[in-house]
Amino acid sequence: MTDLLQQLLNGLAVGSTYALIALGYTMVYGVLRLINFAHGDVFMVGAFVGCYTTRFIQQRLGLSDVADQSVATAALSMLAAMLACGALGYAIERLCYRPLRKASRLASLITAIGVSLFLEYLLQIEWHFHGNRFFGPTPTAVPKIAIGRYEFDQAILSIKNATGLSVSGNDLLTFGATLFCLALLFYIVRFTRTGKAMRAVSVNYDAARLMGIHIDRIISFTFILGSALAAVGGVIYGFRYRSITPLLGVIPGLKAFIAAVIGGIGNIPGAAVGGIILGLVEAFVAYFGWSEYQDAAAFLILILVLLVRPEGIFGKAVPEKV
Amino acid sequence: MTQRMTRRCLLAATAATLTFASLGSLSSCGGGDGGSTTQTGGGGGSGDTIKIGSLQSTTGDTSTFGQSSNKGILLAAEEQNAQGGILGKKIDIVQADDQSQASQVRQAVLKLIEQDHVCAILGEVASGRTAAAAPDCQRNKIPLLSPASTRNDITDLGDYIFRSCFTDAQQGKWIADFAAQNLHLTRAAIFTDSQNPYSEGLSKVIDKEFTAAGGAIVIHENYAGGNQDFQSQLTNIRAADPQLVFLPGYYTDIVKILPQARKLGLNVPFIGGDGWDSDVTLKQGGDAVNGCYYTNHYAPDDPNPRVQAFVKKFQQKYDGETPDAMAVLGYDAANILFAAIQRADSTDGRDIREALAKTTNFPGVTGNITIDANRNAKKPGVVLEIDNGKLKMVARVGESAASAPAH
Amino acid sequence: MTPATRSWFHLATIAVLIGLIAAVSPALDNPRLLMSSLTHNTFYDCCIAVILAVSLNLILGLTGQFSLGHAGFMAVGAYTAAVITGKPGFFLPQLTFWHAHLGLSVTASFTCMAVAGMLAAMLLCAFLGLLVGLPTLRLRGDYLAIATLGFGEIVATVIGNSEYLGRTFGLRIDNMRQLWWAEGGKNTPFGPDVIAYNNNTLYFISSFWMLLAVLVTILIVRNIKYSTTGRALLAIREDPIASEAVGIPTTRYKIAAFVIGAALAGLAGALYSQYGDLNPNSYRFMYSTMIVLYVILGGQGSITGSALAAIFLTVIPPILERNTLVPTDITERWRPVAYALLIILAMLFMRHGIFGRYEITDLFAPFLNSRRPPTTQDSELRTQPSPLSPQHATPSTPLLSARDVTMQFGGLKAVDDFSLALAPGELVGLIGPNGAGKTTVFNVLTGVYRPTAGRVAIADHSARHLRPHSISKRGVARTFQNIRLFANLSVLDNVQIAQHMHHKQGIPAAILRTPAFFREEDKSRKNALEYLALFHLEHLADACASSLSYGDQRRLEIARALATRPRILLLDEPAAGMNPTEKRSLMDMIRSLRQRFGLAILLIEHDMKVIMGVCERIVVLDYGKTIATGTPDQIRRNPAVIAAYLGAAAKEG
Repeated sequence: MTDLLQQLLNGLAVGSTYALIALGYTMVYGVLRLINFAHGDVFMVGAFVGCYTTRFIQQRLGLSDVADQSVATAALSMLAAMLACGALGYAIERLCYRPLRKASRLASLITAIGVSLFLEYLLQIEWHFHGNRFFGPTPTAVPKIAIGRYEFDQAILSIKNATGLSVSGNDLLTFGATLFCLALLFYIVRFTRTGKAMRAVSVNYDAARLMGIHIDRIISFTFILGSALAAVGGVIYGFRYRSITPLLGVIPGLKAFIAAVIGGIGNIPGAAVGGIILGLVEAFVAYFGWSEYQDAAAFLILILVLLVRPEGIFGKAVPEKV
Repeated sequence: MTQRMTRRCLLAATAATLTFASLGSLSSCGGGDGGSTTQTGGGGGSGDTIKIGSLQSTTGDTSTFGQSSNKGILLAAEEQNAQGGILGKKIDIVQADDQSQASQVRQAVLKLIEQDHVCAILGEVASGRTAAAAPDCQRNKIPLLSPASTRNDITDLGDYIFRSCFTDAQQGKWIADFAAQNLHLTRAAIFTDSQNPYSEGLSKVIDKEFTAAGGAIVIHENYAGGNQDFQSQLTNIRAADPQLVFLPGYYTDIVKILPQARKLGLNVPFIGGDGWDSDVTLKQGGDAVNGCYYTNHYAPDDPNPRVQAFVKKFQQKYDGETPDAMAVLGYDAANILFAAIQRADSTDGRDIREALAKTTNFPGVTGNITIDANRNAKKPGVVLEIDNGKLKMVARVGESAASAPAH
Repeated sequence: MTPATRSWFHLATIAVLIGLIAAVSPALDNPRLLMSSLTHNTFYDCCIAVILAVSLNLILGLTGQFSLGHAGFMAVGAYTAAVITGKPGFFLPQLTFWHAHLGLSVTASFTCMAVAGMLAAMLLCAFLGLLVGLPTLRLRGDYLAIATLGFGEIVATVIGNSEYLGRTFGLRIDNMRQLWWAEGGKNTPFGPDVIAYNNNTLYFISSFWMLLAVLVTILIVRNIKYSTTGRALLAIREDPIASEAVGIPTTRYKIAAFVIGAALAGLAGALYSQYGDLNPNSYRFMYSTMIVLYVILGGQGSITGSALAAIFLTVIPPILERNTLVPTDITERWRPVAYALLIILAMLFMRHGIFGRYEITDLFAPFLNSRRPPTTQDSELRTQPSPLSPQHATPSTPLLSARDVTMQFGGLKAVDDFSLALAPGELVGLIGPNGAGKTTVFNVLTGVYRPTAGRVAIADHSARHLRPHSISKRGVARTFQNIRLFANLSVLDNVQIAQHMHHKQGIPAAILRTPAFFREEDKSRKNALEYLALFHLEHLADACASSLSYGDQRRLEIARALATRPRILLLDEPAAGMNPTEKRSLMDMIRSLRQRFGLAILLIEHDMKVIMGVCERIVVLDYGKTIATGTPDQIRRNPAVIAAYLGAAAKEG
């Protein structure tokens, strides 16, 4: 029983990460009808920015690179990552997607793949600066967070026998951040003027323009918001697994997309629920001893959803406007 | 209409350029070396140098393997050349990079054989890429000596395929025996990277040998290398309550698996093979890897004078860097090959092959090495313990298989 | 040239090409003559890349479907062929058959096996393509991208976990045979033969088969491109909704293209397995993206372009490496970055690639008459009835009827309880203020939307569950409010595409270029020109549809709708944007069309003069509800209509 509960917890934690990335996917898709393939890589960039900010602060404080970081440092690094990724998201939209908005959807989709590969491979090139290695394919270590003697990646109640339920500070951080971002996003989209404009753009692009909505600004805002959320996910991912590589965004990015489709792409709570569902499914696939097929299972679910209910759990089948 | 005309012109111009460019480049490919190929036996001895190929993954995923291996090989060649080379000629190590991709190996091997005319090839480290290199070496009768491919059936790929390291069968037995006899543990779990043939092969041997030694495997779990989250599987392992976990994987995953295991309260020792060997294991594993063991080709803290002399030379050449296992294996492999060429007194691939096959009790840094009838090396290994963030040699294994290294 | 001669000519060309290949390949395979093994290896790599690029072009370029799993299909093909020619359990029985029973040499026997492997690979890939394509291709394009990406990953995972397929250790046929020999094969009767063949053969597959495969691939894709099917595929790429509206079953065609493309990728894999090293990790995402890059750079739809791009990008890296112009670690690190940048830049600045849709043969098109319209002296053509002669509709029940149709979008009822019966030859107007739901009615009638409630029937058969192309097949054609021509295709193509459902020669006939195929092509071209002549557009036949003036585009759209040979024509604001003179001639044209073709016409129009001038009956919609029906006079006097609509329009008029 404890093991089953533990698996549920594991699934929840992993699913929360998917949900966090899926939020950005679904938002951009809702507004632009574009699968932003590069989203998973923005997530990865977030993890790197967070990691290097921490290291920079540690150096300034005269600490070693891999010394445990304080909560304040972690918060600062997350802020830096959000800013950097917001800027990156803006740049990607401005430079790569906007010129293609009037072109075919295929063109933007191919460009999105290009941007994704560009980020992945650019960061696989190692740089050396003042004797420090930056980026590159070798895993980069992320310092762990500690309050006093408690380290965030340890179980909160230390386990003496091997049957207890284990929850770490990082698990809580992941759940908390996902819930917070979900609520924040829901609030923005539902209850603010900008959110209303976003919804208007997603329903009808041209009509929204005629209503005096500054389309470019709304789309930029969507990208910045989505990328900042990805950064939060990326930094927390770094804290959790403490080892980051330029390819770390690929699989979570795809899974997040699947999560968004499960929930109904374009639907914000749907993305979160889809992420959790996917996380749980994977945990149970592993529980029954099929862990090597976790990724395959995710894609099978995608194909099943597309077969049975392409609009997802919460999505509505909206006919394309002719 | 004018638009269409310009389009046509553009089309014509580009078509012509592209065609000429690609045709031209293809023929330039062929022009340099057309006609002078596939002579058997290699011609690496022409001129006043002996050309030896080094097929390595110096870029890509496992670039650290290839780079370390090359460092060892180059150090060996430098030493040999300082002593006057072999057969009165200087050694020229020709490097070829396969970008850590099996699909690029053939291109690299053919380049070494046909363009550079090497007389023998050292490499590859990864078993899959050694296998990819084997057919062309076999066909052209160029001996291929792998410094570090431990997979059992590599040397079955032809009588020109050799290795100078131990095999997974040997290593698996050492791991299992160490757990059963030195640690006296009986209930074990095996955690395998199911997509990694190295991990899969080693797991099978460990399973068999540990059961033979009186232990019991209580659970067998799999993971996919490169994944990030292993808690589901570790929870299953925890539920089976083993006394130790065999984890024959690569260090890139080890450093992620162990902290997650400790978080779940799985505080038993983990035991692995030479795939653990990297400074990353210590740096990123932190507290989580303490109390774990792995088998390896050598230990830098081994008091054996041969080891210490090598470490000192290596550090002198490479800015104080401590040589890892790949470096020392590359060094040994290169020296074994040099000795074989010396004994063969020829740079013909067939003669070198004969001489290589007769290698007996070669005094390598990693112990005394004998090449057996199946072109495998008989040699000892070591078991290391990670103790407070440092490596400590706790046992020397397999010495009965080869004669003990001189102290 | 008569169709039969052209068919023979086509066959003769192929025969000559095969003869040429047969003559050249021994020279290519001799390492002492033209190419060293190293160059030969690159040459084979080029062939594989060309097959992959051209086959993906069928899916991505011609049909506009984004597949990111092409490498996955290649992997399936490669492993299939590798198992068939490399696993002792498979090659021994075959060797017994070919070598011992039929007396072929060992080399010939292994070649037979390789060919069998190719066929098996193609079949398996076609099957898997169907499996992946069926659920995804009926959805929007993005899903295919993700699903194929997933397919590639699943293939890699399954292979990576299979001991039989060597996991990530990889598989290579010469090693498999060598291991068999080492593990006891040396003691079997075939052992020495097999090992001698294995160790002494430089190329397990000769250049002949390699080049033949390239030829077959190019031929298949080229022949599909210049055929009814090819035009349909291009139409789908341009505008799937308009394609459905002119009777193209888009899903079926997308699946057909995808399956053929997948099979050809399998062929490429099977060929690769005969000389290369198979590893599941080689066939992941990056490899698929490489193939996408070939197609994008070369030009989506251009066989020449994608083939040249493939060769170019395959040859450049080995040259850089072999001549060590640049250190490999630099080229290796920056190459993928450069490729990614190329993809982005190509999409931003050169969306149609270097060649667009054009082929190298298009250069000579002005000098060749074969693609010109045939002269009408052709006796065969004259005897056939022209589609422009009036059709006699069976004067029975209403042709098209809608009963109590309701269409709801979320909380909005766009159409509420709409009923209409359209008799043969009737000309009915559908009017109403903006947003009254007129176009929605059209979309429901033509199957674009499935009504929330109510029923639609065409000649008494329910049309409720029919896709748009089936409705089109039952004789309902339409135009669109915002013109939906196949903008990048020629005017002639637009009309030829619309005759699609009257064509009987499918993909096999197109690939084989049968006489019947040529006959139908000629007929289709002739008919299309006649339709164009009807609208005075024949002089623009070769122009790009998007280059036409607005009025011409409107007329072309009507010509296209007519070319489907409908019994009912739905016109959505045909007069929009026309000047008074044009409007008058449009009115004449609508009347004469009805006269000449016996059409029933349903017309949406804002211009009251047009509506009142041509319609016999008018239906008025407001907020989705029918507020009035009647003759123009009745409508003019109807107080509800005046209140809702005419009051405003009268002021304008």
